Amino acid sequence: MDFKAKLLALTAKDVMSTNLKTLHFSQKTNRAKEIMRLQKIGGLVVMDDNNQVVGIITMENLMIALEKKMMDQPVEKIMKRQVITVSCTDCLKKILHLIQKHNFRRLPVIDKAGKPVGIITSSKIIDIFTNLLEEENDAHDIKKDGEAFVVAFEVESGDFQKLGEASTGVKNVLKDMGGFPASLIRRVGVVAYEGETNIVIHSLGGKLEAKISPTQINLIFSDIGPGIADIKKACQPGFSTASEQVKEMGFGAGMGLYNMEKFADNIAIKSKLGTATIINAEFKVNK
Amino acid sequence: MNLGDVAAILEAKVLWGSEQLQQEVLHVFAADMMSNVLLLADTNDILLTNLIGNQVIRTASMTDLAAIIICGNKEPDSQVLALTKKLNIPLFIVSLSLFSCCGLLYEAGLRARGEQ
Repeated sequence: MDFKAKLLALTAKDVMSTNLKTLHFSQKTNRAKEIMRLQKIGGLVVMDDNNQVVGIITMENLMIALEKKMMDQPVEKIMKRQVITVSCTDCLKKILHLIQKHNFRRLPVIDKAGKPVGIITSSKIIDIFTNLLEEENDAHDIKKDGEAFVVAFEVESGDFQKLGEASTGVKNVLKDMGGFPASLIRRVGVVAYEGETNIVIHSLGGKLEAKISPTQINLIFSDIGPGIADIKKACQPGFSTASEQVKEMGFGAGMGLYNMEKFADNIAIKSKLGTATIINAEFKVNK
Repeated sequence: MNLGDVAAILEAKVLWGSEQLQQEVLHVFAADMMSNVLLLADTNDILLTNLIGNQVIRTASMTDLAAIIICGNKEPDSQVLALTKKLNIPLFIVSLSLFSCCGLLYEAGLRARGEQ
Protein backbone atom coordinates (compact mmCIF):
# COMPACT_ATOMS: atom_id res chain seq x y z
CA MET A 1 0.00 0.00 0.00
CA ASP A 2 1.35 3.44 -0.75
CA PHE A 3 1.40 6.29 1.73
CA LYS A 4 -1.81 7.90 0.54
CA ALA A 5 -3.73 4.64 0.47
CA LYS A 6 -2.51 3.86 3.99
CA LEU A 7 -3.78 7.24 5.21
CA LEU A 8 -7.15 6.85 3.52
CA ALA A 9 -7.59 3.39 5.01
CA LEU A 10 -7.26 4.63 8.60
CA THR A 11 -10.40 4.77 10.74
CA ALA A 12 -11.16 6.21 14.17
CA LYS A 13 -10.32 2.84 15.69
CA ASP A 14 -6.77 2.98 14.27
CA VAL A 15 -6.01 6.51 15.40
CA MET A 16 -7.67 6.60 18.81
CA SER A 17 -5.99 6.18 22.15
CA THR A 18 -7.68 3.58 24.33
CA ASN A 19 -6.25 5.23 27.42
CA LEU A 20 -9.58 6.93 28.03
CA LYS A 21 -10.53 8.25 31.45
CA THR A 22 -14.12 9.11 32.27
CA LEU A 23 -15.97 10.43 35.28
CA HIS A 24 -19.58 11.05 36.28
CA PHE A 25 -21.01 14.56 35.96
CA SER A 26 -21.64 14.72 39.72
CA GLN A 27 -17.98 14.19 40.65
CA LYS A 28 -16.00 17.13 41.97
CA THR A 29 -13.78 19.23 39.74
CA ASN A 30 -10.90 18.64 42.16
CA ARG A 31 -11.19 14.93 41.40
CA ALA A 32 -10.96 15.64 37.65
CA LYS A 33 -7.80 17.65 38.24
CA GLU A 34 -6.27 14.79 40.26
CA ILE A 35 -7.04 12.19 37.59
CA MET A 36 -5.56 14.37 34.86
CA ARG A 37 -2.45 15.07 36.91
CA LEU A 38 -1.84 11.42 37.90
CA GLN A 39 -2.62 9.98 34.46
CA LYS A 40 -0.72 12.78 32.70
CA ILE A 41 -3.59 13.41 30.31
CA GLY A 42 -5.08 16.64 29.07
CA GLY A 43 -8.78 15.78 29.00
CA LEU A 44 -11.53 13.71 30.58
CA VAL A 45 -14.85 12.53 29.20
CA VAL A 46 -17.91 13.22 31.38
CA MET A 47 -20.70 10.62 31.51
CA ASP A 48 -24.29 10.47 32.68
CA ASP A 49 -26.14 7.66 34.50
CA ASN A 50 -26.75 5.83 31.21
CA ASN A 51 -23.09 5.72 30.23
CA GLN A 52 -23.56 8.36 27.56
CA VAL A 53 -21.12 11.19 26.88
CA VAL A 54 -22.48 14.53 28.15
CA GLY A 55 -19.38 16.69 28.24
CA ILE A 56 -15.63 16.98 28.26
CA ILE A 57 -13.15 18.53 30.69
CA THR A 58 -9.94 20.06 29.41
CA MET A 59 -7.10 22.04 30.99
CA GLU A 60 -8.88 25.20 29.88
CA ASN A 61 -12.00 24.29 31.89
CA LEU A 62 -9.83 23.55 34.92
CA MET A 63 -8.08 26.92 34.68
CA ILE A 64 -11.42 28.73 34.58
CA ALA A 65 -12.64 26.66 37.54
CA LEU A 66 -9.51 27.57 39.49
CA GLU A 67 -9.96 31.25 38.71
CA LYS A 68 -13.63 31.20 39.72
CA LYS A 69 -12.85 29.08 42.81
CA MET A 70 -15.16 26.30 41.63
CA MET A 71 -12.84 23.34 42.28
CA ASP A 72 -15.24 21.79 44.83
CA GLN A 73 -18.21 22.07 42.45
CA PRO A 74 -19.42 19.09 40.38
CA VAL A 75 -17.79 18.87 36.96
CA GLU A 76 -21.12 19.46 35.20
CA LYS A 77 -20.84 23.11 36.26
CA ILE A 78 -17.55 23.66 34.47
CA MET A 79 -17.46 21.07 31.68
CA LYS A 80 -17.72 21.84 28.02
CA ARG A 81 -21.09 20.57 26.83
CA GLN A 82 -20.51 20.71 23.10
CA VAL A 83 -18.80 17.40 22.41
CA ILE A 84 -18.30 15.92 19.00
CA THR A 85 -18.13 12.15 19.03
CA VAL A 86 -17.17 9.85 16.18
CA SER A 87 -17.82 6.17 15.64
CA CYS A 88 -15.10 3.51 15.37
CA THR A 89 -15.54 3.17 11.62
CA ASP A 90 -15.37 6.88 10.72
CA CYS A 91 -12.47 7.57 8.38
CA LEU A 92 -9.47 9.78 9.11
CA LYS A 93 -10.53 12.32 6.50
CA LYS A 94 -13.85 12.93 8.25
CA ILE A 95 -12.10 13.16 11.62
CA LEU A 96 -9.58 15.73 10.38
CA HIS A 97 -12.41 17.79 8.87
CA LEU A 98 -14.27 17.78 12.19
CA ILE A 99 -11.17 18.79 14.14
CA GLN A 100 -10.46 21.63 11.74
CA LYS A 101 -14.04 22.85 11.47
CA HIS A 102 -14.79 22.97 15.19
CA ASN A 103 -11.27 23.50 16.48
CA PHE A 104 -11.79 20.67 18.99
CA ARG A 105 -8.65 18.84 19.97
CA ARG A 106 -10.37 15.84 21.55
CA LEU A 107 -13.02 13.65 19.99
CA PRO A 108 -14.39 10.73 22.03
CA VAL A 109 -14.94 7.59 19.96
CA ILE A 110 -18.18 5.76 20.78
CA ASP A 111 -19.44 2.27 20.01
CA LYS A 112 -22.91 1.43 18.68
CA ALA A 113 -24.44 1.74 22.15
CA GLY A 114 -23.00 5.23 22.53
CA LYS A 115 -20.45 4.06 25.09
CA PRO A 116 -17.01 5.69 24.73
CA VAL A 117 -14.24 3.25 23.76
CA GLY A 118 -11.39 5.64 23.04
CA ILE A 119 -10.41 9.20 22.37
CA ILE A 120 -8.81 10.90 19.40
CA THR A 121 -6.35 13.63 20.30
CA SER A 122 -4.25 15.79 18.06
CA SER A 123 -1.05 14.44 19.61
CA LYS A 124 -2.09 10.87 18.84
CA ILE A 125 -2.72 11.82 15.21
CA ILE A 126 0.74 13.41 15.04
CA ASP A 127 2.19 10.11 16.37
CA ILE A 128 0.39 8.14 13.69
CA PHE A 129 1.60 10.44 10.91
CA THR A 130 5.16 10.29 12.24
CA ASN A 131 5.09 6.49 12.27
CA LEU A 132 3.67 6.31 8.77
CA LEU A 133 6.35 8.67 7.49
CA GLU A 134 9.03 6.53 9.12
CA GLU A 135 7.61 3.42 7.51
CA GLU A 136 7.70 5.29 4.22
CA ASN A 137 11.42 6.00 4.75
CA ASP A 138 12.02 2.30 5.38
CA ALA A 139 10.29 1.35 2.16
CA HIS A 140 12.51 -0.04 -0.58
CA ASP A 141 12.24 -0.31 -4.31
CA ILE A 142 10.60 -3.48 -5.45
CA LYS A 143 11.60 -4.68 -8.92
CA LYS A 144 9.84 -7.20 -11.05
CA ASP A 145 11.77 -10.22 -12.36
CA GLY A 146 9.46 -12.45 -14.41
CA GLU A 147 6.95 -13.95 -11.98
CA ALA A 148 8.92 -12.79 -8.95
CA PHE A 149 9.33 -9.49 -7.13
CA VAL A 150 12.85 -8.68 -6.00
CA VAL A 151 13.65 -6.41 -3.11
CA ALA A 152 17.22 -5.69 -1.98
CA PHE A 153 18.74 -4.27 1.19
CA GLU A 154 22.34 -3.23 1.80
CA VAL A 155 23.89 -4.66 4.96
CA GLU A 156 26.89 -2.88 6.45
CA SER A 157 29.74 -4.62 8.20
CA GLY A 158 29.90 -4.06 11.95
CA ASP A 159 26.84 -1.81 12.10
CA PHE A 160 25.02 -3.30 15.06
CA GLN A 161 22.71 -0.29 15.41
CA LYS A 162 21.14 -1.00 12.04
CA LEU A 163 21.28 -4.79 12.36
CA GLY A 164 17.74 -6.08 11.86
CA GLU A 165 16.54 -3.35 9.48
CA ALA A 166 16.98 -5.47 6.35
CA SER A 167 15.17 -8.49 7.78
CA THR A 168 12.41 -6.31 9.23
CA GLY A 169 12.14 -4.80 5.75
CA VAL A 170 11.74 -8.24 4.16
CA LYS A 171 9.14 -9.21 6.75
CA ASN A 172 7.17 -6.00 6.17
CA VAL A 173 7.21 -6.47 2.39
CA LEU A 174 5.79 -9.99 2.80
CA LYS A 175 3.11 -8.73 5.20
CA ASP A 176 2.17 -5.87 2.87
CA MET A 177 1.95 -8.14 -0.16
CA GLY A 178 -0.58 -10.29 1.67
CA GLY A 179 -1.48 -13.91 1.05
CA PHE A 180 1.49 -15.49 2.84
CA PRO A 181 0.76 -17.47 6.02
CA ALA A 182 2.00 -15.86 9.25
CA SER A 183 4.07 -18.94 10.13
CA LEU A 184 5.93 -18.72 6.80
CA ILE A 185 6.57 -14.99 7.22
CA ARG A 186 7.97 -15.74 10.66
CA ARG A 187 10.33 -18.44 9.33
CA VAL A 188 11.54 -16.15 6.53
CA GLY A 189 12.03 -13.37 9.11
CA VAL A 190 14.14 -15.54 11.40
CA VAL A 191 16.35 -16.79 8.54
CA ALA A 192 16.71 -13.23 7.19
CA TYR A 193 17.71 -11.99 10.63
CA GLU A 194 20.29 -14.76 11.25
CA GLY A 195 21.77 -14.24 7.78
CA GLU A 196 21.86 -10.46 8.20
CA THR A 197 23.56 -10.94 11.57
CA ASN A 198 26.23 -13.11 9.95
CA ILE A 199 26.95 -10.45 7.34
CA VAL A 200 27.25 -7.74 10.01
CA ILE A 201 29.46 -9.88 12.26
CA HIS A 202 31.75 -11.67 9.84
CA SER A 203 31.92 -9.91 6.47
CA LEU A 204 33.17 -6.63 5.06
CA GLY A 205 29.64 -5.82 3.92
CA GLY A 206 27.03 -7.29 1.66
CA LYS A 207 23.38 -7.40 0.79
CA LEU A 208 20.20 -9.31 1.38
CA GLU A 209 17.94 -9.90 -1.59
CA ALA A 210 14.46 -11.36 -1.30
CA LYS A 211 12.93 -12.94 -4.41
CA ILE A 212 9.24 -13.35 -3.86
CA SER A 213 6.93 -15.32 -6.12
CA PRO A 214 3.50 -16.80 -5.35
CA THR A 215 4.99 -20.29 -4.97
CA GLN A 216 8.46 -19.68 -3.61
CA ILE A 217 10.52 -17.21 -1.62
CA ASN A 218 14.31 -17.03 -1.88
CA LEU A 219 16.57 -15.08 0.43
CA ILE A 220 19.97 -14.46 -1.12
CA PHE A 221 22.69 -13.28 1.22
CA SER A 222 25.86 -12.21 -0.52
CA ASP A 223 28.91 -10.66 1.06
CA ILE A 224 32.53 -9.93 0.44
CA GLY A 225 34.78 -11.04 3.25
CA PRO A 226 36.76 -13.90 4.69
CA GLY A 227 34.53 -16.68 3.36
CA ILE A 228 33.83 -19.87 5.28
CA ALA A 229 36.77 -22.26 5.69
CA ASP A 230 34.77 -25.39 6.45
CA ILE A 231 31.06 -25.10 5.58
CA LYS A 232 30.12 -28.40 7.20
CA LYS A 233 31.78 -27.41 10.44
CA ALA A 234 30.24 -23.92 10.34
CA CYS A 235 26.75 -25.44 10.19
CA GLN A 236 27.27 -27.50 13.34
CA PRO A 237 25.40 -26.05 16.32
CA GLY A 238 27.82 -24.43 18.73
CA PHE A 239 30.65 -23.78 16.28
CA SER A 240 31.49 -20.09 16.36
CA THR A 241 34.28 -17.73 15.38
CA ALA A 242 32.53 -14.61 16.71
CA SER A 243 34.12 -12.07 19.07
CA GLU A 244 33.29 -11.49 22.74
CA GLN A 245 31.54 -8.22 21.83
CA VAL A 246 29.16 -10.12 19.58
CA LYS A 247 28.54 -12.74 22.27
CA GLU A 248 27.55 -10.02 24.74
CA MET A 249 24.70 -9.07 22.41
CA GLY A 250 23.27 -12.56 22.55
CA PHE A 251 24.76 -13.83 19.31
CA GLY A 252 27.87 -15.67 18.23
CA ALA A 253 26.82 -18.86 19.96
CA GLY A 254 27.29 -20.83 16.77
CA MET A 255 23.60 -21.23 16.06
CA GLY A 256 23.22 -18.93 13.05
CA LEU A 257 23.71 -21.26 10.09
CA TYR A 258 22.14 -24.14 12.02
CA ASN A 259 18.99 -22.03 12.63
CA MET A 260 18.91 -20.97 8.98
CA GLU A 261 19.06 -24.60 7.83
CA LYS A 262 16.34 -25.51 10.28
CA PHE A 263 13.87 -22.83 9.25
CA ALA A 264 14.42 -22.76 5.48
CA ASP A 265 13.20 -25.56 3.23
CA ASN A 266 16.51 -25.67 1.46
CA ILE A 267 19.84 -23.92 1.83
CA ALA A 268 22.75 -23.61 -0.58
CA ILE A 269 26.03 -22.17 0.65
CA LYS A 270 28.84 -21.19 -1.68
CA SER A 271 31.99 -19.67 -0.32
CA LYS A 272 35.43 -18.81 -1.58
CA LEU A 273 38.00 -18.38 1.14
CA GLY A 274 39.22 -14.81 1.49
CA THR A 275 36.77 -13.57 -1.12
CA ALA A 276 33.02 -13.95 -0.69
CA THR A 277 30.07 -16.01 0.53
CA ILE A 278 26.66 -16.49 -1.07
CA ILE A 279 23.85 -18.22 0.77
CA ASN A 280 20.55 -18.98 -0.92
CA ALA A 281 17.71 -19.92 1.42
CA GLU A 282 14.60 -21.28 -0.20
CA PHE A 283 11.04 -21.44 1.13
CA LYS A 284 8.11 -23.18 -0.56
CA VAL A 285 4.92 -21.20 -0.23
CA ASN A 286 2.31 -23.96 -0.52
CA LYS A 287 3.49 -26.24 2.22
CA MET B 1 -3.33 -14.78 32.87
CA ASN B 2 -2.70 -11.63 30.85
CA LEU B 3 0.25 -9.27 30.41
CA GLY B 4 -1.16 -6.97 33.08
CA ASP B 5 -1.17 -9.85 35.60
CA VAL B 6 2.44 -10.69 34.71
CA ALA B 7 3.42 -7.05 35.25
CA ALA B 8 1.67 -7.08 38.64
CA ILE B 9 3.31 -10.34 39.78
CA LEU B 10 6.78 -9.09 38.89
CA GLU B 11 6.06 -5.53 40.06
CA ALA B 12 7.24 -4.47 36.63
CA LYS B 13 7.45 -0.96 35.23
CA VAL B 14 5.65 -0.90 31.88
CA LEU B 15 7.83 1.15 29.52
CA TRP B 16 5.78 0.38 26.43
CA GLY B 17 2.58 -1.50 25.69
CA SER B 18 0.18 -0.22 28.36
CA GLU B 19 -2.58 -0.57 25.78
CA GLN B 20 -1.83 -4.27 25.27
CA LEU B 21 -2.01 -5.45 28.87
CA GLN B 22 -5.17 -7.45 28.21
CA GLN B 23 -3.28 -9.84 25.94
CA GLU B 24 -3.36 -13.45 27.12
CA VAL B 25 -0.05 -15.03 28.19
CA LEU B 26 0.42 -18.78 27.84
CA HIS B 27 4.13 -19.50 27.75
CA VAL B 28 7.38 -18.04 28.99
CA PHE B 29 10.83 -18.19 27.43
CA ALA B 30 13.90 -17.11 29.40
CA ALA B 31 17.23 -16.60 27.64
CA ASP B 32 20.15 -14.32 27.02
CA MET B 33 21.15 -16.09 23.85
CA MET B 34 19.11 -14.52 21.07
CA SER B 35 19.81 -17.35 18.61
CA ASN B 36 18.14 -19.67 21.11
CA VAL B 37 15.10 -17.42 21.18
CA LEU B 38 14.97 -17.40 17.38
CA LEU B 39 15.25 -21.20 17.32
CA LEU B 40 12.89 -22.17 20.12
CA ALA B 41 10.55 -19.38 21.18
CA ASP B 42 7.20 -19.23 19.47
CA THR B 43 4.54 -16.67 18.61
CA ASN B 44 3.04 -14.95 21.67
CA ASP B 45 5.59 -16.28 24.18
CA ILE B 46 6.88 -13.68 26.61
CA LEU B 47 10.65 -13.31 26.85
CA LEU B 48 12.52 -12.86 30.14
CA THR B 49 16.11 -11.73 29.63
CA ASN B 50 19.05 -9.90 31.15
CA LEU B 51 20.03 -8.30 27.85
CA ILE B 52 18.79 -4.88 26.89
CA GLY B 53 20.14 -3.92 23.45
CA ASN B 54 18.43 -3.28 20.12
CA GLN B 55 18.91 -6.94 19.19
CA VAL B 56 16.55 -8.14 21.93
CA ILE B 57 13.82 -5.94 20.48
CA ARG B 58 14.60 -7.07 16.92
CA THR B 59 14.59 -10.74 17.96
CA ALA B 60 11.23 -10.37 19.71
CA SER B 61 9.79 -8.64 16.67
CA MET B 62 11.11 -11.30 14.32
CA THR B 63 9.60 -14.13 16.38
CA ASP B 64 6.30 -12.29 17.04
CA LEU B 65 6.72 -12.45 20.83
CA ALA B 66 4.04 -10.96 23.09
CA ALA B 67 6.34 -8.99 25.39
CA ILE B 68 9.91 -8.48 26.58
CA ILE B 69 10.71 -8.39 30.27
CA ILE B 70 14.15 -7.09 31.19
CA CYS B 71 15.22 -8.43 34.58
CA GLY B 72 17.83 -7.19 37.04
CA ASN B 73 17.01 -3.51 37.37
CA LYS B 74 18.25 -2.11 34.07
CA GLU B 75 17.00 0.90 32.10
CA PRO B 76 17.12 0.82 28.30
CA ASP B 77 18.56 3.83 26.49
CA SER B 78 16.48 6.14 24.30
CA GLN B 79 17.48 4.33 21.11
CA VAL B 80 16.22 0.99 22.39
CA LEU B 81 12.99 2.64 23.54
CA ALA B 82 12.47 4.28 20.16
CA LEU B 83 12.86 0.91 18.41
CA THR B 84 10.46 -0.72 20.88
CA LYS B 85 7.90 1.93 20.10
CA LYS B 86 8.42 1.63 16.36
CA LEU B 87 8.08 -2.15 16.35
CA ASN B 88 5.33 -1.88 18.98
CA ILE B 89 6.42 -4.60 21.39
CA PRO B 90 5.41 -4.37 25.05
CA LEU B 91 8.54 -3.78 27.17
CA PHE B 92 8.68 -4.16 30.97
CA ILE B 93 11.58 -3.66 33.33
CA VAL B 94 11.81 -5.50 36.65
CA SER B 95 14.22 -5.01 39.53
CA LEU B 96 14.19 -8.73 40.47
CA SER B 97 16.76 -11.15 39.06
CA LEU B 98 15.99 -13.37 36.07
CA PHE B 99 15.96 -16.37 38.41
CA SER B 100 13.36 -14.84 40.73
CA CYS B 101 11.18 -13.67 37.84
CA CYS B 102 11.11 -17.20 36.44
CA GLY B 103 10.30 -18.58 39.89
CA LEU B 104 7.42 -16.20 40.50
CA LEU B 105 5.84 -16.83 37.09
CA TYR B 106 6.26 -20.60 37.50
CA GLU B 107 4.57 -20.40 40.89
CA ALA B 108 1.75 -18.42 39.31
CA GLY B 109 1.14 -21.29 36.89
CA LEU B 110 3.01 -20.27 33.73
CA ARG B 111 5.16 -22.85 31.96
CA ALA B 112 7.57 -23.17 29.09
CA ARG B 113 6.00 -24.16 25.80
CA GLY B 114 5.53 -27.94 25.62
CA GLU B 115 6.15 -28.51 29.35
CA GLN B 116 3.59 -29.28 32.04
